[in-house]
Amino acid sequence: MMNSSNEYKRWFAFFSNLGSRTVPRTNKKIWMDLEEFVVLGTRYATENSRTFTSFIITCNKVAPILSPFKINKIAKKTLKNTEFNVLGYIISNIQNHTRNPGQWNSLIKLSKKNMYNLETINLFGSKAFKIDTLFQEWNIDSSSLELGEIDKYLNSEKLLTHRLIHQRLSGVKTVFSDISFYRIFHEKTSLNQMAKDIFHDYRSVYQASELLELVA
Amino acid sequence: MNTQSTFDLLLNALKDLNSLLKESNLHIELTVVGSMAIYLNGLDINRMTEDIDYISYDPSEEFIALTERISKKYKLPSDWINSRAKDIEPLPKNIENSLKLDNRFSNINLKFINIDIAIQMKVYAYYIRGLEKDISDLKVLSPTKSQIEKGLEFTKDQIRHHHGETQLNKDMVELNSFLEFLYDELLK
Repeated sequence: MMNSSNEYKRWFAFFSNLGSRTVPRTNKKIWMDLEEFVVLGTRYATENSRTFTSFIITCNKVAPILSPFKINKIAKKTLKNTEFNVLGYIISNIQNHTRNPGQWNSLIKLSKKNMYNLETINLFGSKAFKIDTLFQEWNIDSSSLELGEIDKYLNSEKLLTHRLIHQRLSGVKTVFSDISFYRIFHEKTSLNQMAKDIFHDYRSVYQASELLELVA
Repeated sequence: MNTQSTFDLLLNALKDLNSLLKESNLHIELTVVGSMAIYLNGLDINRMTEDIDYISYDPSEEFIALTERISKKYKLPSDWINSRAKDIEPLPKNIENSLKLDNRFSNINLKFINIDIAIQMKVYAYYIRGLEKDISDLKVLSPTKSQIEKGLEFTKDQIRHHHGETQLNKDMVELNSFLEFLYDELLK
């Protein structure tokens, strides 16, 4: 099992792989499940407002190729308390930027059900003179983010040429793209372990792997 | 893992820009503002974006062409070094006498604003833009009561300059509550 320090380092390295301009750059390629990256962002991207801005811009960009179902599954297993408020904010932002907001409704419901309501949360250690309305909706006391300055926070070319992102954008189904990306880093891991790591059920992973072997 | 912080990256980019300027026999003077200035003042701002804001230099076409070459080499945003902040006028009083000098480059006379001026500009920026990154930077800058008040005076100067005394009078209630907010948030 991965300890939290490793998870923290891997999250930031993967974010650099995806093209964030606010985290230390690394040339090492990292494996991380894309939907798990989104969920763990509720924990790590809030380290400071610039990283969080970069993270929200990235989520908005990749939203059309994300699996809300997987995010739901991972969030239920991973998140607690105030992290659901942050997830709610992320998903609300995605809904504002996507043409298919309806498919994200279950995650909004999940976040609303589990969000922390006792006190307002100071996400970045400071209160806001004027609270951003979307943050307010999720009981977070924070000023606005600079979400319009995409190029300043994200290297979009790097994001779009990332192996996993590129595959999903090309229309490869989630389970196939996840297996293919995973196998670059974990050639010999069992199907059972892989299914757990990429958050798909064993049967889908087994079937997809069989097909992938046939075309290899 | 081989990682490179955004500050190291930008300093390397500036070093390369300096070499190109040297080859072209060009000398420039940059006055750096924004989060890069906070870093150059030695404060612990541990993350930032990959851009440098400067004032007091009107970029020549040749300079812009050189910065584009660096942007491609380092995969930086096209406006990684930009003069967007030059539109701020009037500048804080006495800014010329409070600039600090960084003499690591032969062909870039690199100046940067001191903490006092950085606070004034950040207080104004936060009042105008209301962005989280501005209040976060103010926390790092850790201003005293009198520095916050100077920041508010600078904000008033801006409103007076751009919108006149009547507008400033209309804004006074909000400015006073802004000042109270800054005291509560930054002096605890």
